Amino acid sequence: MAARDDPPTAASWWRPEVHAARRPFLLTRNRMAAAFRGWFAQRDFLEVETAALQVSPGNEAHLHAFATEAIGPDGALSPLYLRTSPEFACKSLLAAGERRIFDFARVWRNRERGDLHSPEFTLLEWYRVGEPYETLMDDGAALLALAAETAGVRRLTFRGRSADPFAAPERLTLAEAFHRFAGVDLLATVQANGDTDRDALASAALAAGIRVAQDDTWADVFSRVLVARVEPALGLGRPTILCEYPISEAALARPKASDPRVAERFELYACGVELANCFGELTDPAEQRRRFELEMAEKARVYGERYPIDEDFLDALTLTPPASGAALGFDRLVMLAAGAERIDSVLWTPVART
Amino acid sequence: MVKVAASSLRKGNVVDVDGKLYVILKLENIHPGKGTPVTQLDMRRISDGVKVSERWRTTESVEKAFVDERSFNFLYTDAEGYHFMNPDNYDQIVVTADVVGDMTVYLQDGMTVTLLTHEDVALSLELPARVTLEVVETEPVTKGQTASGSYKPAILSNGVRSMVPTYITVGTRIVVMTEDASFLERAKD
Repeated sequence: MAARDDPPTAASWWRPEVHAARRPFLLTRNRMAAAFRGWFAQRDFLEVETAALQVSPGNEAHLHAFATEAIGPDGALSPLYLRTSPEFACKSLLAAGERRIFDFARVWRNRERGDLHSPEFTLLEWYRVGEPYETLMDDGAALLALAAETAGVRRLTFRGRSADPFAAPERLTLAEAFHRFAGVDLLATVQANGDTDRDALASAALAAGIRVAQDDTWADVFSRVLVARVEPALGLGRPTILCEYPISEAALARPKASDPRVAERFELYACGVELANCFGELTDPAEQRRRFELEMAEKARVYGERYPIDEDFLDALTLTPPASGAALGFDRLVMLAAGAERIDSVLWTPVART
Repeated sequence: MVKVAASSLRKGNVVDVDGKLYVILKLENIHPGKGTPVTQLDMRRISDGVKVSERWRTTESVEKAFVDERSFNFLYTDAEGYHFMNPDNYDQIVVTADVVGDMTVYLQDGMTVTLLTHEDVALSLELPARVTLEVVETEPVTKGQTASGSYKPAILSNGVRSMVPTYITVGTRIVVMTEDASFLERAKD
């Protein structure tokens, strides 16, 4: 049965003929969700359902939330947000004593819409207490293989690119990837204390033929090189694990013991598409507060707003044991396994176009 | 000219980069792993037709040029290009083949399209979202097939390939989306 996905200009999804064409994607989605739940259950993970309404939606400079207001019995208003990830709640459950949990979390991100972005989507997060983040690399590879097996395909595909989910992923550090795909010596622009040298990275990017704006920060230039040269080259033929992010690019991850310039953070890619973001979790409340404040200062500078810091979460971090945690864009993996070109094609009811 | 954020640009907009005008062909906002979001664009330089790709921060400010947007009717094509007429004042305009591109197959006599122009030069053409075409080639309907969800290849009267529900037969007039030739419904005429 040929499934078909329509561009955003196309007819409403509820038209029976449109729905019939989309339905094979949706059935693949359901089969994958069931298979994933089974996979986690076999490994003694508990499924948790965390609250979508939060005091803070997440404190990262470029993540934008949907805001709402709680109205008390006396009519008093207090701000609440739809979460951008279930991370604060899940780490608080680890503080409470849970050891292995997963959450098929519906999350919301504002200002994001496109073939790979829906303002409402499903982030599958899972956490392992007392286990290194390398274990999550194995988990990620196993879930890609399970996705393909469940969808009945041998390869993941997107926009003419493909990757073999049964092959062991290639592992690349950010430093290796910047060197290989852009000829840029990334860590030469990061100091031992994590501070970054904007001008050094900007001139390296320019030398590689990537335009830089005068008011670009180090992080902006980093993103330009990543988008222009690195991401399109990842996950071709087989999945890629891109690891060891500079510490300034990993707000919730802990530093790597042998090199504090980089953090225990990796991203899993297939077919040039970012699928999962994983951390050795930062559990130091003072350091976490410092990084949240830096992120919110940057958000205020660029977008003119900041989100509150969730003090209860920082309290919980005092009890959170060493752990590793992963967040996988479930809808994107469905797309790649089912062969869909747009995230809306794998959502039972896509969000209205605004 | 007006300064706008890169993320607010749309396909068909005209921007000024270092004194040269470019029309936007394709645009995507990329949010890489929680990092600085980037607007990635494919553009055509108006002066010489050269295609370039460019990336801006979504918040970066870009010079957007004013363009005229108006309906024209398609007349005919000749060695000069594609001729259209403004139905309000009967003024004619010639559009070059590189602007029309592969949309050429959908142009029909008298069809109303939208043209974006800058100083009387056509920069981009927008087709109606839907057109009615006839199926000229497809597998016959076989017994036992119903209207539920399966599709088969078909060739339409303009030569374009589409996927149609299995119950559609040769000679049926159908409505397709010009964006990607996808089947929408059986024509009601």
